[in-house]
Amino acid sequence: MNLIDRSQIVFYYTVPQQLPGTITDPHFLGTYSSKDNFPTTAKNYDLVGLAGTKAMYGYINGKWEYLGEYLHEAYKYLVYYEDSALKNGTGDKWNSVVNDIANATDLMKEFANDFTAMNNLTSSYGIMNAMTTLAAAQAFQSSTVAGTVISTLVSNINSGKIVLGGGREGTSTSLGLNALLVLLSSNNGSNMPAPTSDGTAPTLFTKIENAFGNLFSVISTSSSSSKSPSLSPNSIIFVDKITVSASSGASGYSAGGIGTVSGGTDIINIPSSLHISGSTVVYPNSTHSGLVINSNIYCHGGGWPFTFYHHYVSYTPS
Amino acid sequence: MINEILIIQKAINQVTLKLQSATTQDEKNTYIQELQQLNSVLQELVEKGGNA
Repeated sequence: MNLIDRSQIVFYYTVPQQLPGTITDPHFLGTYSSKDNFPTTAKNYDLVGLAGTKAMYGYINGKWEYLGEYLHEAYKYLVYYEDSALKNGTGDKWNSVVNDIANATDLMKEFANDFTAMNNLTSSYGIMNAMTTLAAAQAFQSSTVAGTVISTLVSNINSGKIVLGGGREGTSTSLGLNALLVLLSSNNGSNMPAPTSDGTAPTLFTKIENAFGNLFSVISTSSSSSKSPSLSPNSIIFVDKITVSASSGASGYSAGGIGTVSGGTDIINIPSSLHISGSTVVYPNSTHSGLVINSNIYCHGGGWPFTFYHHYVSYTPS
Repeated sequence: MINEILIIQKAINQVTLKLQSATTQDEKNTYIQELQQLNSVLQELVEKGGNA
């Protein structure tokens, strides 16, 4: 082959494992929801991601060319190669990539089963508050690795090291309610504490009540009426407590409570033997944690002549 | 730092795949033209040493 004569040179191309550019590279402009939204003017070799497809496009000679799938490489890069990139990344470009990852079912399964990824997740309010998608929730729910990491998160919430607050969405310095529910559902809710033997609230419940009490819904029932909120499939429901207003009365009425089936009381049981004096608060039974995943809840007052107030909050990831 | 040659290489691979599955002559002509354009950009980059 004569190397001087360019017409005789043939290039054979292999597909490299890595895509060019990193999240932090100024050439990488971020992800866009459709090709119509790609920047109409860009510099040669600028790169964009197409959200929901894992595809990366490069701007070459005035045209956006498809280059291949980048999202898995971006995910590995964020989790492994920049050490704390997953914890410290900020800005729209970085947020758009994280959102794309959070909506990718296969990537989230990988994420949920990866200790490095999960530990980095729980050290960043920004990422925790962003990963509230259905793909993320389902991945966490079926992962024992996620369950193990979230057990540490719960300890940190109880100790105050992790701050709850900022409403449903959270803030850059506090864990929001939506993210909290998604994370607590890890490993099918294995980290929900059992009520204490004297009926007082577990520390986690108190922390949740203090941070998000204003977001709770309350269903009041009396007599035997059974009401269920209309909750969608995939809902994550936190059943907090039942309160009864200050009144007294003898025991002996039919059981009331909250259950996962109509008329049932498997979540919170107001036993017929309970003598109510003053105000009464009942937390979830030891047989069922306060967290209900992918099921509805039914609230009823049994045969009691008082009104019960059923406190719960829910989030439906999508 | 982006490797511009890597980007062009990826693009050439993708257009080649499209050419391989093209059915009409019009489609093939389009992709051949794109490959020629990408190839000349690649040649420029190689001459400049990868710093476009």
